[in-house]
Formats: sequence, structure tokens, C-alpha cells
Amino acid sequence: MQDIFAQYNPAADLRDEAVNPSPGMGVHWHYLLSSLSGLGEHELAERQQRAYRLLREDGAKYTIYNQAQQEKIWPLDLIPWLIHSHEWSLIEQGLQERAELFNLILRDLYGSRELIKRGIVPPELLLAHKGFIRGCDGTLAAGQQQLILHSVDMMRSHNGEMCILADRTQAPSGAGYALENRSIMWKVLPSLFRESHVHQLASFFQSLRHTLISLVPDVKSPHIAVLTPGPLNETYFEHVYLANYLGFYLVQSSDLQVNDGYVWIKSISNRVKIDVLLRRVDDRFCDPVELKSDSELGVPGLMQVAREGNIAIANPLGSAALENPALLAYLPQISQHFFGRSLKLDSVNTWWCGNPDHLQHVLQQPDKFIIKPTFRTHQTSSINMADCSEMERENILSKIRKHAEHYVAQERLTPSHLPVIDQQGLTSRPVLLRSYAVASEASYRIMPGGLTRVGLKQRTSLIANQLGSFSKDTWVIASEPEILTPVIETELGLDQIDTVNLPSRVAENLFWMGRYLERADSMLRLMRVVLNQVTAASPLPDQLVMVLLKSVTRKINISSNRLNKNEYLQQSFEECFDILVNPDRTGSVTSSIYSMIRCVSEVREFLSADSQRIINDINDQVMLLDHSLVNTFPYGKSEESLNALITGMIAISGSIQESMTRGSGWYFFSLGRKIERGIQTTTLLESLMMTNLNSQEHNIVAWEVLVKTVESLSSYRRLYGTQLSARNIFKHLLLDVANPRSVIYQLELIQRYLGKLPQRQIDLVVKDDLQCVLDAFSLIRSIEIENISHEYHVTGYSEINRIVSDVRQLLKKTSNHLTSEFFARKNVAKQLVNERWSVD
Amino acid sequence: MRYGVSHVTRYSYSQPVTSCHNLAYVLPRNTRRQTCLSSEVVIDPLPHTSAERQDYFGNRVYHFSIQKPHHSLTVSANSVLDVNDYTDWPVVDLSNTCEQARNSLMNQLSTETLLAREFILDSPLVPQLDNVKDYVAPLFPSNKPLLSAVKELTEKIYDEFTYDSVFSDVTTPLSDVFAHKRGVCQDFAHFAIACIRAMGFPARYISGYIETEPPPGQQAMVGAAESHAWFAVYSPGEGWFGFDPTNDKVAGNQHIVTAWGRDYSDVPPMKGVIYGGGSQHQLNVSVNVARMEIY
Repeated sequence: MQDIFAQYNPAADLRDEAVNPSPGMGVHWHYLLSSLSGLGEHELAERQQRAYRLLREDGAKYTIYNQAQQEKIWPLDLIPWLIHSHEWSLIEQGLQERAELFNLILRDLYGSRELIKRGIVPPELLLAHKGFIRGCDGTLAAGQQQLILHSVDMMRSHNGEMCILADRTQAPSGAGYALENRSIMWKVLPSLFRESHVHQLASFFQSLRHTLISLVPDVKSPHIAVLTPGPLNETYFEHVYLANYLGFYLVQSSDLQVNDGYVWIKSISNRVKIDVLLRRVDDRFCDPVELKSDSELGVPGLMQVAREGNIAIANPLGSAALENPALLAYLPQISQHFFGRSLKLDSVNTWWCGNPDHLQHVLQQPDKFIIKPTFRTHQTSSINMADCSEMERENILSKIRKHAEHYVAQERLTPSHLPVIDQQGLTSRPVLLRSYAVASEASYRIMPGGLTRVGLKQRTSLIANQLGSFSKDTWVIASEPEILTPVIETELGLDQIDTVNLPSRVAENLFWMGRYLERADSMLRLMRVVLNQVTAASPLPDQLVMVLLKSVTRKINISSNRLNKNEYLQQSFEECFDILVNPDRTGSVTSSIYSMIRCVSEVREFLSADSQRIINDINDQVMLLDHSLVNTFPYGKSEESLNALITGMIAISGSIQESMTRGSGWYFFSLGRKIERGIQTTTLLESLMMTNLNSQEHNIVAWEVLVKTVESLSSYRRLYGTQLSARNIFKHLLLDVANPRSVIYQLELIQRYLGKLPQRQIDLVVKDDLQCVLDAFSLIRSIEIENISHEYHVTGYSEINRIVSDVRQLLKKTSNHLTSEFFARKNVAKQLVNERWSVD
Repeated sequence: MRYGVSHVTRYSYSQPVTSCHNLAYVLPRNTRRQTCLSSEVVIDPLPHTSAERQDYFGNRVYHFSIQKPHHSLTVSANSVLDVNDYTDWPVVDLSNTCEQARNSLMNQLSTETLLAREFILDSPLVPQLDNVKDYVAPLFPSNKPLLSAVKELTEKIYDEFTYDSVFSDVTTPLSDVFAHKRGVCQDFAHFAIACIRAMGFPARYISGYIETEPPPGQQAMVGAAESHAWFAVYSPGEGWFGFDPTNDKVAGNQHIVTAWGRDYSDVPPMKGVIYGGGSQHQLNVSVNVARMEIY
């Protein structure tokens, strides 16, 4: 067996954690590397692949904000960063101390501002920073600990010591990814993991939960919500994951409203008051009344609620001021002021350009430094001056000269490296560690380990997920196995979430998920049957072909008179192809499936891991649909592609049916499906039953397409024999209460599910949606089925046609009534206008 | 001088507003020379929540929210105040020179001076303007008293800028005001602030009112019956001094202060978020400043 590690040979001038281990770590690295090596190259690659699959099934994604809003599977490398628990305990003390210091800075900044008044920090350093929010002055709640969460990015520098590069204080991200990494490692390398005595992460999250609960000591069982910017956010996966893991609500700003001085979730029944927000929305976006006025991620009035102490926010609004890297230039003085001593952990040497002496130092030899703006946004980045072109360099220097107070320069450091598995075997890459601290019992509890992030190229210290870097688990290795207090899963479970009080947005997405699922399914089945007929070996008469194709293409009228048959066929096939693959065409298979997936991304917390996996598969198939059909459509393997998608649709319905709790969420999902199925069945009846073809033989072909599409051919034959007749088809598809595809069957279920919605059991008034269903029932029951002729005659089926069409309208109305009663109509907040300076 | 001030803001909407969250800077603060004897805000319709608090700059800000549909919103603020003229107005020609002021700002560690440095920084509506240094530097030679220089700047703006109530609105960038030398009191105040900050001195924006009826024999001041705006400059060790470039005046006992901040965006009379309201709305503001007899 080839020893892949024998060939690992990092550059001699780089410090490699595995090759030059810290004291006491040699034996651990040796054990880890020889165990991995023992798996063999092939097996290791297999495990890496398995990790990828598991991450994907968990929906662990990360969005890179570039033009394409690229969504990537969270990248995890299987070789963890090993840190000895002796070293870790020193790091931990340093991180606690630092979190305490930043808490004191926060309280000072929004309190008495002694740091400024005593001349310890220049006023401009704090007051010119955009993260300093004047509206937060004096608003911090009482109590010692205001800073709930504190994160730092650190690296091991050349002298072997850990050195801190940056602080994250407003909504630190990554703790959930660290937890996900850990759970994947545990699944992929179970025995290695067990034998390595790795410190557990769970207790950190318990502390987080307890701390958040304790923020509102007067509330008995507080409602806690994770506030996310929504599925388009880069770390949305983590928001869902943490909310689920901690048993908190997951809300977007449009789910919340301020009323009577409190924050409430807009839900489908009673309002739920939120007592604590764990926010993942940046400070300045949180309240359009007082902060960034065009923010759509904010909750109007939130700041005033916080100010009055009616909600606790972690971290408190205004914490972004602590992310100012210029603070690092003054930390020794600040630490002296508060603690009377220097800090245990070093920070990277930093010069604040707002200080004339520092500026001069920076301008003398700019190429030595990394330049950072003091205020970080998605548009800003750190710049290694040595890598700059002459033009970029001048551009940055002129910005610095103009707004010196907005820039810092930092020493360029080379982080220690770690082996990383890639196609060639192993390569050496620089690593940063992001640590997590949560306020707990008058100090801070530190997550043992954290999120290790890997640079894309050697030597760089500019490592960011936005640059596409990937991650590693971090193992703090104890000499003895850790004695664990078992975390009872239910304690962190979903018990808090009341399924009756579903947020309206969630209910709406579940409903539409059901509708899109059914819509895509119905189109796929119809397409499959029609293509089968039209491309069959024995040619069908033109008129029949047109009717069949038209049932698929629906409103699209290809003017047939000017085309010969082949041209017509060709155009129809192009239309069909478009209806399958065009994502921008409403009602196309691809568009319906993408819409369904978008709904899923909003309600991920309601789906089981299996459902998630099936959705991923469907997504893959749809993305490849164009590609797999383009050459042979409508012949060849087209049918297989459609079959695969139909199988996916069956799988997802089945999986949800089996796994989703029968709460309001499930009823909304099912209502969506049943309403859409009713609409689809009535539409098919109209397009395939109501056209008179020249011969009964041809009629029967169209009818057969219909019955096959709704998967009822075998049940029809059992009941009525092999001969298709219009009367029996109407009977079977409209009136048969035992046929799960019949319209009346949908109506019965819709009626039943409506009765399960909140407040419906006690409400005696017949709501509008139910009224529509009852009207549809009476219409269907008014059909005098025995009077329907077997033969199409002059009057056609005009009476039944009208009924079918009315029923479809009533189903659409039912959907509209549900929408207006339960779903969050997004209230558009507008600014109170002051467009003129002065008005007569 | 005792004044009664009434400031009524009325919004009418074409469609009902279902709810709103607003804040108002309409209650006058106390200053060194001004005492607010009484003040009240009356809001129609009656707000569901309301609260007054002191903001970062020491201003009085009034928060309120309304949760029921309404077609119009009226915010009336009524105040009675005593405003004194400067008793400590320095002979401007004997104040700190520009150089002295600059040195003190850099080196003096008095709390007042340290905190005043915030007002040298850019602010949301007063960014650094190109060419403004060339425009203003000749007025601020290092040996000239700072307040004399600011007084001349006030005159210069009064002379060179045209009062034009249709040229600008709250979204007009300050660079346009400078380029066309037109605007209203808010623009002139912002521009003066930009000039003074470009020279490295602290300047702040003041929102308030000016006395409506001119005393006999004096001409009416522009800005009458409207909310008014001017600015103040900080001279280390000497304090803050107000100047009104719209009227070429030192802000004296006819200037009634409501609030101050870095610029207008810190202290707008009304600000907030509404739901609904349709696409049309009307805004009416009326201000009445009346001199009251002291019995």
C-alpha cells in the first residue's frame, strides 16, 4: 500500500502543523496520519467523497456573492487541525479575556465613552466608524455582559504562538458549520474520531441556549428566534441548522412586526411574541425607521423595542463598532485601562492610518502591509499591497490619503500550514482558525476548537469563504477521554416550536411547494403519454396529433393551416421541449420544479434528511434535463429522462407523506397538492374530452391519453372493462370517491384539511374557502351521469364542460381565499416622505 | 425673549396607511441660552405607543406608532421658551486664531474638545467636496481669528448663493448646491459645515425656527414660518457659536433651537416608515413663532 503521507513534503521554510508539530502533538499527528494512510489512497478518496455526499444531503451550502450568486456545497477537508488540550487551555484563557475586554469596550462606547474622554483612543477611531450607531447610545440593557457572542480569526505565526487577526462581533458566522463539520467527521471517520479523545462541541451550544434564555429572566419560557436575511444569504444553511439544533424559530424580517411595543411573529393563528432574537442580519439593516432606511431585511421599530427592553438581541445592535480593526492598534492601552495588564494573546501588528504617525509609517513602505478598510462590507476586501499593480496601488493610497481614518495597515504574516487532500495526493495550505465565545456565568465559554479555514494558495493569510476557501474540523485532543455529560437531544429539540403557530411565510411556502410539485408531476405525466403516442411507429391522423400536442402546449397556438404536417410537428416538438426545459416559462416543468425547490429552501426545517436528499437529486436531474434531452428529443431516451423525474416526484411526495408531522404545515402542503391536482385534472378533462374528433376511434385515443396521464387506466379497466366510454371516464375522474385522482376525491380531502386549519374547529362560520369547496361539490353532484351519451353529439358535452370549468375556477378561488386569510402578504414599508426641505 | 412656537405637520394619504412607526424632532432642547418652559406633542390619530427620549446629541426625540388604518396624520408640537441673546459672545476678532484652534484640537485633552472632534468628520449628508478647500482656504489664514473667518464665510455664502426654494430637495447632493450656488437654508448650513470641516474645524447642524414677525423697523427674515436651519462652529476653550448664512447673521435671540447633530439626517423633523398609503400623499407644514409678553 502506498503511503500518501510519505510523499508529503511541504516547503521547508513554512511551518507545517503536521510536520513540525507543537510540543506534545507529534504522537497525535503520527496517529492521525498513519490511520488515514492506512485507509489507502483509494479509500481516503472514497471517504472524502462520502463527506461531500453527506454535506450535500444535509443541504450544507455556502453562497459566494459574485455575479452568478454561486451556491457551493460546503467544502470540508478530512484532515483536521489537531491542537493539544494543554495549548488549548491557554488559548481559551486568552479568548475569554479578549471577549471580556470587547464587552467592556462595547459598554464604554455606548455608555460613558471614557476611552475617548480619557484620551486612550482618539475619538475619530471610534466615532468615524460606520459600525458606531448613535441611536444605540445608552440603549444597552442593564447587566455586565452585553456582548453575547464573540469570535476571532487567528493563526499560528512563525514563532509558534497564536496571533489574532480580526474580531467578529455583530453576527459571527460559522459556529453551525463547525458543528456540521464535526457531525460529518464523526460519520466518515468514526473509529479514528472515537479513539482520538476529541473535545465535544455540544456543551458550547447548550451554553448559548441557556445564555439566550437567561437574557429575559422575567419571561418563563421565552420565545427565541434566529433572524435570517433569507435563503439568498451566504450562510443560510447555518441559520436553518442552528435554529433546528437549538429549537428556535427561524424568521425573516417579513415574518416579524412591531406592535404595542413588542416584536411578534406573523403566524397563521395567534401571534407569537418574540423575547430574544439571535440575529444574523447586520446592524445597519435591522430597522429602516432609524438605520439604513432602504433596508428590506429590517423590522421597522425594532430599535425602539430593544431600547425599551422589550426584546433582547444577541449581539446587541451597535456591536459592529467592535469589528473595527483599528482597535487592534490600541488594544494594549485599552487593556491597560480596563485590566491594568496586557493581553495573553497577541494581535497582528496594526497601524491605524487616522493616526498621523502611523500613517507616515505606512506610507513609507506600503508594500510591506495588508490594507484593510475599518468597516467591512461585501464590497470591501483586504488588500495585500505587494500583490497590487501600480495602478491599484496608487488607487488605494489615494483613498487612504483622502480618508485615512477609514483604513488600517497590518503586518503580513504567514500562517502555519496543514496537509490538504487533493487530486494529486496531499498539498500544504495555510490555515486560520475562527473561534467562538458565548457569554456564560460572568465570563465566556469558548467552543473547544472552532472552524478551521484553508487558504487557496500557499503562504497567504487572506483566507475568506468569499474567496472560495474550504474548511476543516478542529480537534482539541485530550490526553484522557473527556467525561461527557450526555446531551439529551430532546432538550435541544424542536419542543419549543408550536406547530399551530406556524409563521405565515412558512405556511405559504409549504402550500406552494405542494402546488408546484403537483403541477410539475402532472405536466411530466401528460408529456410522457403524449410523446409516446405522437412518436409511435404507426402514424396518427393529423387532427388527433394536434389535439394531443395542444393539450401539452395549451395556450400556444401554432397556426397549423400555413404549415405542412412535418413543420407543424417540428414546431410542436420545439414547444414541448421548451415546456420541459425553459426555466423562464411559467408552467414549464423546469420552472415548476425550480419554484418548488425555492419553496423548499424556505421551509427546509420541515423536511427530513431523506426528503432533502431527494430534492437534491431532482435538482440535479432538472439541471441536466436540457443537456440530456437536446439531441434526441422527442425520441430516444427522452422517456427515460421523464421517467426519472417522475420517480423523483413520487419519491418526494412519499417521503413527505411518511415523515412530516401532521401539523398545520402538513395540511397546508397537502391543500396545495390537492387543489393543484383538482385544477390539473379539470384542465386535462377540458383539453382531451371536450374536443370532437372525426371518429370515435380517434376520440378514444385522446381519452386513453387522459386516463393514462392520471394513472387511472388499470383502475378504470377493473371497474368498467377495457372499452373506454365518455360516460365512464367522467364517472371515474369526476365522481368516483374511491379514485384518488378524481376531482371529487380532491374536494373531499380539501374540505377535510380546511377543517384542520387553526381556529376552524371552533369557528362556526363557513369561511370563504370552504364555501368554494362546497359549491364545487354541489356542481359535481349535479352532473346527471346517466344522461351522458357515449357518443359525442351536436351539443357536445357543453353542460359538463361548463361544470368542469366552474369547478376549476372555484378551486383557484379556494387558493386565493387561503392566501388572503393565512399568508404573509409582504407589507411594503415605505419611508415617511420628506422630499422637500421646506414646504409652504 | 419668550416665544410660543407651534409646529404642525400634516400628511394626507390617497390610500389608508395601515400602520406606521415614526420619530419626530419637534420638541426644543435646552441650550446654554435657551430654556424650554413647556412643550407637548399632540398626534392625531392617537398613537398606540409613544415615548420621548434623549438622543446621542442630547436632543429630545419623540417616538410613536399608530396601528390602525388612517388617511391622515397630524403631528402638532407646541412649546414655550425663553431665549437669551449671547451674553458671552466673544469679540470675534479676539478669538482663537485658526492656528491656535487647530493646535488645541489636535493636542488638547479636555473632554469638550475631544468630543467636538466628531464634528470635523464627514457625515452622511456632508461629505468631503472637491475644490471646496480652494474656495474657502483664503478665508482661513492661520493667523486670523477663527470666528472672524467663520463670520466672513457666512457673509460669503449669503452674498454668493441664491435662495431658491425649488432648486433643491433632501436628495440633492451638496456638490450640486456648491456647483450652482443655489438652495435653501438647509443647503447653506450644510455647505458652510463642509467648508469649516474642510479647514479642520468642528461644525454642527442646527435645526430650529426663526422669529416670524420682524421687530418694528427691521426687515423680515427668510425662513419665517418654516422650520429653519443654520450651523455652529466650535472654538476650543471658547465653545460653540451659531451663524446663519441664510440671513447673514449671528444666531442670536431670534433663533430658536430644536435639535442639533452632524447634519440634517441626525435631526429630521419627521422620519419613519409607513405601510400602505397609496402612491399619492400630501404634506403640509405650518410653523408659527410668536413673541410672548412676560408678565
